[in-house]
Amino acid sequence: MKKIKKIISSPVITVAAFVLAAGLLLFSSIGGARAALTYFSEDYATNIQLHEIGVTLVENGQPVEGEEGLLKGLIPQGESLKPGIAYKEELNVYNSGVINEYVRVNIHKYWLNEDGEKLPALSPELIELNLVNLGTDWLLDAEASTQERTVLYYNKLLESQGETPLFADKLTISGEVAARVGETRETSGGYTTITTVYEYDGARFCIEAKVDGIQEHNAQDAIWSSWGRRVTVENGVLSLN
Amino acid sequence: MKKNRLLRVGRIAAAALVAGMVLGTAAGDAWAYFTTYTSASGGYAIELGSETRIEEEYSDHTKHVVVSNDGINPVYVRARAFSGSRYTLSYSSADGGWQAGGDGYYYYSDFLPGVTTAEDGSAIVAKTSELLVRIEFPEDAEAGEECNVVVIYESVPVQYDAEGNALAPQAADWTKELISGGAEGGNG
Repeated sequence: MKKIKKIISSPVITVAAFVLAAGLLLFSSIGGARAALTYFSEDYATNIQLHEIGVTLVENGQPVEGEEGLLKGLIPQGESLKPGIAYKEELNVYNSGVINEYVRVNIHKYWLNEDGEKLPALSPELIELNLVNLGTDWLLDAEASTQERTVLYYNKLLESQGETPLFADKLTISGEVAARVGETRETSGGYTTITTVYEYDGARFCIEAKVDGIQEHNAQDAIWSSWGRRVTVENGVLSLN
Repeated sequence: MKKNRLLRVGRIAAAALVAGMVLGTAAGDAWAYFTTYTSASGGYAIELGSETRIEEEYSDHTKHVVVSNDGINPVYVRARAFSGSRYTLSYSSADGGWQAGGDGYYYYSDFLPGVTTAEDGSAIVAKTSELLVRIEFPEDAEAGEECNVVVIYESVPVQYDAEGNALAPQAADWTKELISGGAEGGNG
């Protein structure tokens, strides 16, 4: 008995036990990676399907994604964008996952120069995305919204394979862009020539829409934890605190 | 004795560390929520630049005024002339292309399209028809008497309604005050 105690209390055994424990810990981490290798296992596939969550942005009835994915069909072919015209830009969200979810939309509007650099001096307000169904279906998060960013929350639970009502229907570049100018005067031969340089000439407007989805279960805490926004969810209706 | 106590404390600490690490990874899983996102972006460059030019000829007490558009965007054009009160001015155009606006200006009835390129590569520059400004000298005018007539013309980019129809030149907003600022910001 004394011999056994001596063996157990020896530093070698202690180190060996520690190494074994670390090995077990590592093995449990690798377990996740190993699961991917058994992707075709029936049990595993069933398990994943239960938790699959997905969200899709829909523009004029078509799903869109990625850089340059948005506004592709805004202007008829062969035409150029004309300030003042309200172009059709119908946007909503589709739940492409297999579980119900709550969604929010972040819209960023800004101007870029030819090199793709932001032009903070140009006003995002002149990029007029007409928001619709505010108050009834979509909630504007005034605290998080700025001239450049608009944050909207869908106030209902979006069921799997369901679509929200529109949150925008038209896009207009304000005619005001033609009123923002710099001016030079040149006099020669009795003539005065006034040349106006448009601040927005050559600038590229950009709209970026990001849609977030989050699980239905324990949504209130999930939204606070993941999106940093206090909301109340009662009977499937979301309201901003 | 003291050595044994130290060993025991060390073992307990190691066990606690391992337990903490294992519990920590498990807690991480418990706090995770199912989230997802998608994003899309897009945009267009806008072109507003326009450059118009006036040509005047004087003959037989009449100024012949033609305005051309050297820019790439379509523009509206309007013009008027000023003279001393001793001389009266009358306006006309051979094809009726210039219309009195009731505000002293004469408006070219159609917009001038931007420069286009012909099949042979030459530039096609749109011009107005001639606006004729006739200067009526008073009866007591002396031979060789000089008068000074100044023609002013303005152009603005074509404006559209929400449906995309171009407004009539007289209906366009010519009075909107231009907001001057640093031009550097928008030309990058």
